Amino acid sequence: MAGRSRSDDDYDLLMKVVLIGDSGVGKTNCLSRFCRNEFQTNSKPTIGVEFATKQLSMDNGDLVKCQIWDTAGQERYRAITNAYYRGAVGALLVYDVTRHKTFESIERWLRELREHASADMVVMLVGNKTDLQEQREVSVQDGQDIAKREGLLFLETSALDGSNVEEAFTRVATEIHGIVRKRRLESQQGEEEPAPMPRGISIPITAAQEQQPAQQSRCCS
Amino acid sequence: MSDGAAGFPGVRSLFGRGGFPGTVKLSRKARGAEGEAQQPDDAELQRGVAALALGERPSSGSGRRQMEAVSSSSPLPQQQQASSLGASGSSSRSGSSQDEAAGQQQHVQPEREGVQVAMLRSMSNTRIAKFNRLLGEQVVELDALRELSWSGIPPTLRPTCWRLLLGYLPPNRERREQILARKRREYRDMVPDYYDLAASGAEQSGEELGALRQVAVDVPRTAPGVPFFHQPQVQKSLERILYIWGIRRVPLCWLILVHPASGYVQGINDLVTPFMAVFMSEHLQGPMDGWSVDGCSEELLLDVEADCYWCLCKLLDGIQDHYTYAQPGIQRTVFHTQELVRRVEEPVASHLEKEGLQFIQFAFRWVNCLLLREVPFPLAVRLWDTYLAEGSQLKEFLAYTLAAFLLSWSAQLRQLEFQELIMFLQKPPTSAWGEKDIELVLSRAYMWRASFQGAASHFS
Repeated sequence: MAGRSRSDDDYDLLMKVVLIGDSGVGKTNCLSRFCRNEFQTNSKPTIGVEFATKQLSMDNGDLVKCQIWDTAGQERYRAITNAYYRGAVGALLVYDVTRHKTFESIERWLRELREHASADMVVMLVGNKTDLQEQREVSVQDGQDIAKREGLLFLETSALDGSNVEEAFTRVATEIHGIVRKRRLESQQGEEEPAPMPRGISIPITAAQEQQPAQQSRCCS
Repeated sequence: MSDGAAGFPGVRSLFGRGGFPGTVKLSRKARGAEGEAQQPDDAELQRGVAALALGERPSSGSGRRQMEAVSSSSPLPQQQQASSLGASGSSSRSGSSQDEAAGQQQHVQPEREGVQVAMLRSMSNTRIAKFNRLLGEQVVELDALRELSWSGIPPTLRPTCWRLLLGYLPPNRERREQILARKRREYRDMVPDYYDLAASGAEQSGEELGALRQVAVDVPRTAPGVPFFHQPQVQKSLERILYIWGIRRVPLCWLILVHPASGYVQGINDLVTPFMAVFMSEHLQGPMDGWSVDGCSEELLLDVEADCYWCLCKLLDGIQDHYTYAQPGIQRTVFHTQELVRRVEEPVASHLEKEGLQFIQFAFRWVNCLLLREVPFPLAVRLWDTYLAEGSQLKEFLAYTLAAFLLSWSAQLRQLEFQELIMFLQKPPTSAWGEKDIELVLSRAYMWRASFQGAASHFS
């Protein structure tokens, strides 16, 4: 695939990822940092959902297009935003390391994911705002522990200084890409010609019996 | 210039006196003989001129309900077009006055101001006189005020008109002062009962704590592009208004007080900002960019805060189900909008459908914040003139407005694919919009409503 020039519409896999978490934890800024390398100190509270995309190259040369839905954090919007979990294969569940309350909500968010999202969705727990070290209320260890217990990927980020933001999204995308490839290979066993990667549709990872590989907790580097 | 993100320069025109470089002197001739309305007109005129001198766009009056007030408004050169709060309510009947305007240039600033002065003159002559006549009555005729306000309210009269339109002030002039004083006192009494108690950390229920936390997270993120809203006292005011609105108890019946159906919901913070800007404009001069509340007494700030609170209550009373569980009012309006688009421009509706775009994906916020986030702030204030004039009809009118807003770009929309569509619609290109554009939206909405009226089945 190397050397092939690729347009915006030319990708091997389209994946839908949702951003969830309490309001004010920095979901919108994580997204704008990742997609446009922008940060706004006071970005307006997200109402309903907002949408952004970014293309990523995988190790094997595949081009993955992430379609990211940024949701409103307030409880009242849940009834509406639940609809956006449909078809999502990945989620970033964000909390604010300087507000313990937002960390306490993780359980509630996970319940909601279990209720509305595909069971084998790739979920990454993201502790944001590491630039505010002196205001930290949630330790790295606490984040790692809950991620391990719940089988989530884990990273701490700062949308403000940009640390780990790209890594967080890329990690989720890589994980999903790996699962899809593995599944494709399995389904092709016995077939003569490998089918091309599906394009232009999001691929639900439905086979529940297949657990995600490598769902280990990992601490921020 | 009219880009809202750049600090909403159009708001300068709210009361542009301090913002205008030099004094505007108008010749006798330019002023014309206007009889009774002459005096107030002059002040208004000067402010408006100052507004326009800052490069703001005069209104073309295209959204006018009373077409009688519009004669052929000849299009102006592009560089003269920028949005303006100051020109609100003006119907630019400049077409015939451009020659005359040219003659005024020596009195004002070179070239463009001359034309703009002429337009403002025509605005001040008729519309302001009409407003003044109406407002001068012992008992204001509300229907007439609604009709007149629908097409835009002159900035200096906006605070009074909004209070009247919302029913915060009574139409009877004699009772106004007394009621205003009583309502402000009532609010002032609520502050210690609700807010101070909660903020002190004493006797909070989980619900109250949650409300306070949510408000505290959102207030600093309110209208981030407008420095005025980020002064500490203003932030405090916003916090109190929103918190008290969220947890207040309202009478259900005699002696029984209940919590309102919805507490504070994100986006309601946006809805206070036009009230704050408009009521503050009675006390602060110059462009809004330079507003500081440092010189204002605590009394005065509390009065403004009280007015904002009560007007927010009145506004939200009419759209309560926008913010209750599952937000049925918003869903209904979004659905109506979709149906209207299908009715009015079927090809656009089917294109969106073919692309898999759901209206709720972009129009939810439009309804939730009444388009406040979609247009530059000064235009939002103009938009609200019409909303408040609609009164109890606002809910219904909103769907027409949203449909007209969407179809402002109908040709473009049909060329776009899903992703481009959603990116386009979550940030519609309105930063260069002027009043003329928003009034076009409103007038189309008005026409569609008129033509669909009685045909209730169009929503089914």
